[in-house]
Amino acid sequence: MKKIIIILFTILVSSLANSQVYVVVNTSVESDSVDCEKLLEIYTLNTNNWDDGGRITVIDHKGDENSKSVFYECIKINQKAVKKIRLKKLFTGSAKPPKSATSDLEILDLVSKTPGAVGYIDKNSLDTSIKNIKVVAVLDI
Amino acid sequence: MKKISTFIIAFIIFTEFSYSEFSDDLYIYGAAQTIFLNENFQQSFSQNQLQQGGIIGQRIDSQDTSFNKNRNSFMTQQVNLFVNKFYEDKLNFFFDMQFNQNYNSSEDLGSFSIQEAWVNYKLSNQFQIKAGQLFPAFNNLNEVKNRLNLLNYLFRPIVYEKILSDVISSEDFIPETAFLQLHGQIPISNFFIDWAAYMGNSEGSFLISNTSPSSDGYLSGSDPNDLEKKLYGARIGLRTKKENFKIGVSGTRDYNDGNSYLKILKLDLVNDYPVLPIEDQLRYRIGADLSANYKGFSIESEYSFSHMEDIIFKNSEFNIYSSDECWNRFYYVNLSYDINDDIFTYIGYSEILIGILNFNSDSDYVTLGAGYRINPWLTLKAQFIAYQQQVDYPILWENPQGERRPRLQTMKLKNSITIVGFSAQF
Repeated sequence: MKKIIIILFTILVSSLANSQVYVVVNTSVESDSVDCEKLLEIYTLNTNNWDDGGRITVIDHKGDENSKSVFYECIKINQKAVKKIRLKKLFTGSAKPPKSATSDLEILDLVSKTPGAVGYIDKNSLDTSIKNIKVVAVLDI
Repeated sequence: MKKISTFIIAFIIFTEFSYSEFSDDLYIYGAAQTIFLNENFQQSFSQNQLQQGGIIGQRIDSQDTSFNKNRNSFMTQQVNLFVNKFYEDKLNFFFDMQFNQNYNSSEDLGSFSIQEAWVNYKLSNQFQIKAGQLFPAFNNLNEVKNRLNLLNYLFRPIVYEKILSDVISSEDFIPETAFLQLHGQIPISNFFIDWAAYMGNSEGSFLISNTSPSSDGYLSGSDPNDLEKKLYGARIGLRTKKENFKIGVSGTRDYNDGNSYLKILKLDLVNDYPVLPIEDQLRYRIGADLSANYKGFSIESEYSFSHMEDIIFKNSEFNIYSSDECWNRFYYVNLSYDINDDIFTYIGYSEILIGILNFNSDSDYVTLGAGYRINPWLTLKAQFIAYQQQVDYPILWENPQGERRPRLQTMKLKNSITIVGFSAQF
């Protein structure tokens, strides 16, 4: 029994360690890389402009996908805190809420169609045939 | 002042027409809080043979008189409707309407008001201009004081609680509104430096009301005072980018409406005796705030101290009130703990000290409460408040020989309030 638990635990840890998230943006964004600090500012709605001055459209997962927990762990903030910060900004009129998507495919679709958009997806969901998107960060835990 | 008003109106009209064709996002949302309130109310006086005016307005003849009342009521405490319109990415218009305490105009119940109506132009994250009626940056709670859905409690720290607005004048401690604010956030490492500087009218009581006996040709709702008597204020703060730590200091300079104190004095202290008008007083407020959260625990606190220049008050018959020390102090501390994602609990303490002339008031409350987030839009809340107040104030007392002499009267109030309710956002 102990062996089984150890094996299961090892599989779980290794699968988590291999969790990778791609941060994708619309090709209208000039930057080719975005660091975690900037992503934190973007996803807490503390900034709405890229470094080149372009407008940021934030796209987030609606549900509780694995990529979502990996993403927020990488930018070092918990989802509950993000919700609270966004709610405060929404109700004080200082920011608009992010667009939400129900799947990685929808995120890719929205990013490709929206200039300045940013989203994140599981690495296995990347579809290179979709135009107007580029990967600007690879996050893993 | 006329030039500034014209500029603000022109700015709003210009931005409205210039950007309307590019509009892309309109958000309408709101929040409501409905409560059931049980209040046990005890009031006692330590003097005999006194004339108590004001709200109670009755004669009390026996020593150590006390009242004991129990009240229960359902109430729609507050409903807010927000409209937020974004024009491109630099400009947005925000509007906040508020209905209080079972509002019903035909029954003359509660109140309806425009709390905020402003345009914000974002030159950059570091520099923004907000013009229109707005809640200015002061301490921790002022900018979100009426967003009940964002707050854990049902009953806010004393100076922010609208239910107590008849008893406590919040403007003695915090600036209620401003009309022009420059503000921004400057990123430095893992922090933002928040800054704001603003101006507005001094006090709501300066505004000309529809029922003012003489408006001197001013429009209803306008403040006839010149720029010297306006509100000027600022806040500078530091917060982490994760917003789990926030600290700041605030300051304002404005004028206290002397007539508002005259009203209090006439009503509560010397009901029978005519008094001379009191000059408006220059007032400074200084504030500090600290908020932090860590592993489910969160603390929020703020402190406000206001000082007014000397008040010289004269009764036509007695020169009994004069003072060189006029100050108010308020602070609150609230400690919360999230038991899990849905259930939270908290304990808090708040105190107000008022020292005006010979009028001294010390009010404080201890509160504890809990809440359950049924879903992201609906939260059940329960709160208990043990509130007490001691007021020492002078009265004119007439002895059996018919001589009138000033005496110090002490009133003690004990109030325990239990509130249950829900907060919904839509």
